[in-house]
Amino acid sequence: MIAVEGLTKLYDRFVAVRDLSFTVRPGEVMGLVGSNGAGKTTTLRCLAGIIPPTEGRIVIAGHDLRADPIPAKSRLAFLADEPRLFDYLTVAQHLRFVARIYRVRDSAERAARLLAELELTDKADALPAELSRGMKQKLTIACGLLHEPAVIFFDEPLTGLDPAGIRRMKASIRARAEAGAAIIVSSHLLSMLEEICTHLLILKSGQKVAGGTLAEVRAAFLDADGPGGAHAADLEEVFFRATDAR
Amino acid sequence: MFSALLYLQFQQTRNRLAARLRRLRQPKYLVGALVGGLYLYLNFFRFLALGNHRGRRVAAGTALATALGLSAAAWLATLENAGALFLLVLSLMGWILPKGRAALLFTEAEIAFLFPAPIPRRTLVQFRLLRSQLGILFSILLLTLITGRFRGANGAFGIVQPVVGWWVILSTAGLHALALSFARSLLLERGVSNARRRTFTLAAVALVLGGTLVWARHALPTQALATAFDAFLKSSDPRAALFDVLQAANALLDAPPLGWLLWPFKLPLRPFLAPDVPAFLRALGPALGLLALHYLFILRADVAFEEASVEASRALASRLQSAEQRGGGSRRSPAAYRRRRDPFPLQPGGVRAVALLWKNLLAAGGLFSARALVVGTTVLLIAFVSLQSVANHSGNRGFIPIVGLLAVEFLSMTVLFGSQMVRNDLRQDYANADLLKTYPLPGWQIVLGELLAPTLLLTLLQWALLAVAVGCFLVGGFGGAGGGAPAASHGGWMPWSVAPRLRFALAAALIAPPFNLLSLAVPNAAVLYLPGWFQRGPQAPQGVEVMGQRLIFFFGQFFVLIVALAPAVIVGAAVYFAGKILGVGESWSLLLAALATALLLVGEVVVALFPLGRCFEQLDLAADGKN
Repeated sequence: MIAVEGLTKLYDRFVAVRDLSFTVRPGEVMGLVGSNGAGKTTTLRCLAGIIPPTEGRIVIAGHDLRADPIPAKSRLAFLADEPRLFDYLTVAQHLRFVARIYRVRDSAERAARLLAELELTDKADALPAELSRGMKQKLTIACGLLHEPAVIFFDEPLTGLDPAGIRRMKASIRARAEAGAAIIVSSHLLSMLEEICTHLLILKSGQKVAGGTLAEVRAAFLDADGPGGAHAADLEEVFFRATDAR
Repeated sequence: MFSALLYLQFQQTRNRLAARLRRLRQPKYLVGALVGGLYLYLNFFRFLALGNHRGRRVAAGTALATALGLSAAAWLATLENAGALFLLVLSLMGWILPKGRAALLFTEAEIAFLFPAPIPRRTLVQFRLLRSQLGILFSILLLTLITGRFRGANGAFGIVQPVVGWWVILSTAGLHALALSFARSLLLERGVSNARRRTFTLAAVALVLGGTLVWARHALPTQALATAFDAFLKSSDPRAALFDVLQAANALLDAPPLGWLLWPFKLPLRPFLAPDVPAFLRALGPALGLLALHYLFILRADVAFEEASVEASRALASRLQSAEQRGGGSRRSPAAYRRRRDPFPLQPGGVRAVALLWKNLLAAGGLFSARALVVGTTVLLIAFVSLQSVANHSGNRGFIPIVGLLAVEFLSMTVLFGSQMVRNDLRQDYANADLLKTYPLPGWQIVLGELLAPTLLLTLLQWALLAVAVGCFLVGGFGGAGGGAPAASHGGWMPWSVAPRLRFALAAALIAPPFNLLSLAVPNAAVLYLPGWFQRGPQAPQGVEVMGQRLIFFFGQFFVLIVALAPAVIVGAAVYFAGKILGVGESWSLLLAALATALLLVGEVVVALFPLGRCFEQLDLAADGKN
């Protein structure tokens, strides 16, 4: 479970995120949306322990990220939009390295399963330079999922994937949620979020402007002017109404 | 059309300069600029500024010529021949080695904007040449400063000669390299393969060399190059003999047909080397003519360079990005990495920091592997056996200690500069700090894990050098006889027999790992506490101010290291003298002192790891540039 209370992040005097609170329970997938510069990536980086929040409390799988960072980090995975890999480690070596970092006991079997699932088995001895961008993204995902995290943060997970990869990724996110993971997906692809998310959090200038289940968020922005009277707006309409970004 | 390209170049240059000036408002850049400027002044500018006064005294090249008894003309001829030979070799390499088509290096943005635009190919070439002039001007500044340091500014007419001279040399060299690549492409387009081009070139080179040797055998005086060189090795007056060697070498390089081949390569050098103004002006005409010929050829050769340029620019961008991610260092292309075997089996359980050691050893490449260890040990053993054998047969052991001394010298270098040479730690991994921060490791383990690999590599290198030194001194008997005989009786400077010497070496070996750990902890601490001062990757700012920052950073680290070493050295000295007073014996005292020093150094590192770890945990990556 992810519990965030009063998360605030300042860069000097600039407020990147202000007083953000929300909860994502096991099995839920929360979409994090907002215009460019709304604070999505800053929020995710705070949640992943990459940057320290200025104020607020973050609880990951029951562990306070500030007070108890090691168990908290052991249960999370952060999958950045840009694949971050070590130039000199092969695919298999990346997985061995991550296995030691997260102390994954049955790592060999899990790695083999993940490589097969992500169609990287025949690339096990390849260096990142020999992989396409999509394959690098898949390797990042394999590394992130190797320790079967209870909490997963995806930052633009579909970037660089081919249509088949996109379909598999969406299925994978759903499957992880069904298996009990609490997931946050940050993306500008509202249609994708509509497909896979159970919840939505809309940010504007670092502040929450809407949040809740998809139905709740839609209901909050009923399209009263549409033909046939008031009805739930689609997510794109909801986003524009919430952020005044039209 | 060209005006738009000029506008692009002008604006880019102006904005870059403006940005540099603006950043001087930040104290860290202003202080850096002052220190960098002072460094340049003290080392280079003052020798130009003092040109006709101090400059005469520091004209090291002239001093060397005088010492050798060479006339100024002979000295200039030697320089001209050597320079022309160097350019010829470069030219041959540029003609023989490359196999691809001509490529002009543009940035990815330039390719995206300019290649699809309706710009003639010739205009693109001119634009590229114009831009290369900026780099050349910067190189001229550097070279003028450096060569001014050694020749004074009192050449033909002060500063003008080196500036114009270097411009002619560098511009001609740049155009020549481009012309070679164009010519290669034209041959490929006409069906002349790389293999045929290389075969013909090598055959021509062989003919020229053969012809020169034949000529030399008939025409050179009895004091031929080989004889002169042999005389130099045996001579009791090496200066006179070196004079003969240079004279013979000059005669050989002037000999036809090699002399003919070298002649065009001498033209661009002559303005720089001209002894007076008339000679300079006389040399300038042919040199500029050669430059113009190159330029005309390049403009008239309608070579398709676009595809190769796109590939080259992409490769460069990839290298830059990779270097940026690695936090600087070499601009090796990611494609240049090779698969490496695991340095050791990494099990999923156990101390997590070991994973970072494992990763960074992989980053060190083939330097650390079981194979390298076996090969290194074998080479050392063979070398020792060979040395021993040669010494036994010749009866001359004098050269063996020299090898040992060289090893000691290199060992000293690793002690002084090792922490700056081996950088596969946080300095390299800082660019991955966001990734490292997601790992479930306490900060101190991350810092320790990052320090382990360079410590191990440096220590192994130092131990190997120590083994070489000890082996050489034992075999060669430096400072006394080998085989356990008391050295003092042989008049050596090291008043110990074999066992104490081994204890001395053991003491040094004992101190090496904790010393390396501490000396590496200092620059890593600097990265963590002053990330804004730590310049990362090829995209990092450049300039005099950054050079100054690096100087401050380097000497600051050196100072911190000395302060950090002081307690351990004091304790070590106390133990040593206590041991001597108690009659333990000198070498045993030294060993005990080393043990005490090593323990204290380890203690210091352990104490330092926790604040460093906390600093890593609290590092605000988004704000680090503001520190």
